[in-house]
Amino acid sequence: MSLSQKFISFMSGFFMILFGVLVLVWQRYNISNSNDSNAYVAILWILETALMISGIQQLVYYFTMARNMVGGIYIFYKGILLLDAGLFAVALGEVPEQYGMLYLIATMAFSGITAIIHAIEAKRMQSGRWIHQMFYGSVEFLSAIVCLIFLNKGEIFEIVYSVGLFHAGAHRILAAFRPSSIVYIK
Amino acid sequence: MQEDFHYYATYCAAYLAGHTHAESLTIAYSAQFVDCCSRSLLDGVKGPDAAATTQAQGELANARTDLLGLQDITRIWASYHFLPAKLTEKYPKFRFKKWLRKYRLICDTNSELLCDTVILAKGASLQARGLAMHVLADTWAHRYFAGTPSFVINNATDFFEICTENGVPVEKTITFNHNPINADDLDEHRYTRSIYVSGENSIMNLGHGRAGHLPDYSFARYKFMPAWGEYNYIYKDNPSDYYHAFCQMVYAMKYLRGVYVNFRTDFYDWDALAVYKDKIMGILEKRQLSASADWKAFGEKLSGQEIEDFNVSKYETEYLEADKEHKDDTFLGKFFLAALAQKSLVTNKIFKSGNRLAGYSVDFEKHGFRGIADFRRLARAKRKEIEQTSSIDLDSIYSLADEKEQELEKHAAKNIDAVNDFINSVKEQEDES
Repeated sequence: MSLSQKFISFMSGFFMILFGVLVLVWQRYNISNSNDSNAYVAILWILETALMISGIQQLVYYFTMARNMVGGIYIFYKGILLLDAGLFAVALGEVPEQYGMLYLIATMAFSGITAIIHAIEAKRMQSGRWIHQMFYGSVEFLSAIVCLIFLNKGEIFEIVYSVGLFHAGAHRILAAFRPSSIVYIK
Repeated sequence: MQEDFHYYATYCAAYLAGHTHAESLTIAYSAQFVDCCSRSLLDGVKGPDAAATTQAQGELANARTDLLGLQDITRIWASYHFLPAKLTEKYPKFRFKKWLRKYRLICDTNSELLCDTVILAKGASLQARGLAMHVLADTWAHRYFAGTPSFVINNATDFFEICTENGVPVEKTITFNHNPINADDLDEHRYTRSIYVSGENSIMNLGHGRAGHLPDYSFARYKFMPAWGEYNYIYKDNPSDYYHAFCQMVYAMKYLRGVYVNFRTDFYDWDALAVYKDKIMGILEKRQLSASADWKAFGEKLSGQEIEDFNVSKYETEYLEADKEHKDDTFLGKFFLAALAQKSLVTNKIFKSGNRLAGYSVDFEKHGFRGIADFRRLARAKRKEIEQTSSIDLDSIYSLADEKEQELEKHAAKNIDAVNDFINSVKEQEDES
């Protein structure tokens, strides 16, 4: 990692954690004041923006790389569709909390299953790492089930989402400090 | 390539290059171990993480594809399985740098890096020889694919298998399924490959995943359209490529044994293998999922010795029980050092070409130790090697000096005796006179 990449990694991790804290604070504030959830609106705004950005990214990817490949035109269609979906989501006045929950459930279930597969393989190879992987995978998968049970409870969505932000943020900050260069020895 | 070529065929090549049965087994074991040495295995034997030469399926499924994750994946797959051959190639048409960086990691045969890889194994352990042979053989099987996740490079379409019916070549359409549990059906031309994911850095687009196991079967002759090929077909003649790989391995191992002074690319030991050509081509062209039994029989006939089956955990206990100071002297210890050296070399070459896809490389001689801690082991081993070499030189110089001194003393003693004899004879003459 270059210095600028380390800086970006650190700052993005820092802002993720900060946003996670804000989501929790807003959520507590809303509960105590019986208001509509600002936290949910903020998360939704993030997701919608991410959708739009990913549409733009796909278009940039098409013009810089995929344009030259066999069947690359599909990337162009994909970019247009994502951008359109993002703009549509922003234009919607209100999106039911269940949609956000379903997105989170799918992400967590997939991540949990892959971690469990890794753990099973690591155990077969007598690696001590399997316990950590199994724990992580099980927690992810169980969280997905909890979210599914409390599909109509927005608070659960906000808490789980902010915990996910803490995890991803911490990972980015650690990555910024981790030595990653390969030493060349003649 | 699979166990049949990396283990049994490598044994045959090593034996034909002049190694003994035991040496050939060590080389073959090391060549095959490259496909087994994952992080999970290393964790089990408490080996250095950075010496991972492959990623198990579970590791891949769970691999992160952020910047560091991608660099880690590229280092592993480009260093040992998809040796880049176009690092400094200028593309004839305008392309964005982002695309070029991926394109330049495409694996092909007879590259400059292959030369460096074989030379690196010169004078090193037998394990390093085996590892280099794995890399060499894979340049033939995995050509046209890159050892980094890339949709625009590694995606492939329009596969046709070229079979011979009544002496006439016929093109058969290949169909694919995506369930890794299903075995490939050779009669129906139905194979397994990774699923279509249009994400540039998806793990599904790593190496030859989109071509399934076709590059790994020695019998396969097929054509396909690679994503980077501008709608041109590539014809892949695996029996011919695998025979080239075999002959190049024999030549390379003869170089490593000191039969040849220099290693040249695009050079094969055709003459020495001419008598075995029909037998080898017979094995390579036979349509079967694994040619292990045939290669094993051929190897046993060559050496007259039994070739034991590959056992992945054969040397684990030796490594686990060795004390810290002597771990590097064990079988696995030597393999890990060879793996670290190879990764260090390939990453440095990619980095020096201006490509950051495999991460950063720090020159130890210029900047000291700055990087992943596991490489300290390699630095320590190199220092030990230099000390041993210099101590051997000093010893030989001292012993030569001792010999010369003794010779001089002998001469001096002889001279003194001669002088004494002369003095005595003069005295005797004086007395007589």
